[in-house]
Amino acid sequence: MKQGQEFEADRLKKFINPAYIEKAPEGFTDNLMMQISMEKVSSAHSSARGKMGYVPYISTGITLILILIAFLSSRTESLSPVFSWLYELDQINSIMTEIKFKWTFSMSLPETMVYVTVSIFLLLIFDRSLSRFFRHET
Amino acid sequence: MDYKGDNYYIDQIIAGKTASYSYIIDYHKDKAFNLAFKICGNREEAEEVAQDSFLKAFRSIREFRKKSSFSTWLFRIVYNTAISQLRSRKGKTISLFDHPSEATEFTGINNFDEEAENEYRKYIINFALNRLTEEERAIICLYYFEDMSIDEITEVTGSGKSNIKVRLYRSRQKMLETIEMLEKRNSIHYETRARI
Repeated sequence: MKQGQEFEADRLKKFINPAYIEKAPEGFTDNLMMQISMEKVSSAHSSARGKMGYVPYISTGITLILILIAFLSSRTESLSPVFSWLYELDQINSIMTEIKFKWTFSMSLPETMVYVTVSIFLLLIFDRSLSRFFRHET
Repeated sequence: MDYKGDNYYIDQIIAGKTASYSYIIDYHKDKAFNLAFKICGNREEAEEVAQDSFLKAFRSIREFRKKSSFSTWLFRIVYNTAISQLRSRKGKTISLFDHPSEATEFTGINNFDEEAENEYRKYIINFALNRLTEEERAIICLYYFEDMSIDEITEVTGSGKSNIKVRLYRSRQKMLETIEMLEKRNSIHYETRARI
């Protein structure tokens, strides 16, 4: 049986020449490499877009932490040297309230206005710097 | 430029040198395309399958464990891609060699030179291959064209060893029957033409 099988295999081999294979079309490698490079670029873009999505969250988080620190520091007498600059904010706040806006514009500004203004500035700065950082990374 | 081996280029790709993949494509493209062609039966689909397979292999190159050869791993991807492609277009059988008349065209050549005879054999094999199922075609292709062992074919197709042996035997029988039938028809045709 085995001999018979081998004989038949040889008969088939007579017709099959491994050299006669269907060859890949011209430019096959170049097309594929182009597809791969395009895929690489699009995946880099999507990962960058994904990273950029974190920017507002990080900015908001940092700003909230700063506001919290500022509030807490204004209520404590002794400030650590690290947060001593926040004392300056408190100073500005007292100057601002002394100006008495209601005389000038016949309206009163809340005390927290200073913190809000500073927060907006900080938010802007963080947003710009983080955007630049992520863009540079990609 | 000499081919430095699959593993050398794979390490380079993992290290970030994507361009090294072109050497791997260049080296394996014809065999991958041939397998896809033998399973699908037409060049357009074979090209699509071969391209998809190379892309899949590239995306998961880090998963290649180097336990088997890269070609076996690639052939497995080509095989699975081609089979699923054919299953997705069930019923729409497209084949270049569906008509027996196409295979007898070569009888018109009175003096067979070497090139014509090779073309004739290639044609007859493709015709006989198209009488097989896609799995049988793949087994024949891997065994005869890629010179793979039964163990390697088992790895590529995911079927059992005894299953592959049985299918190989049956496919071989079917092909020989078709070839004999065609040769008989050709000889009658040739004799008739000679008499005329």
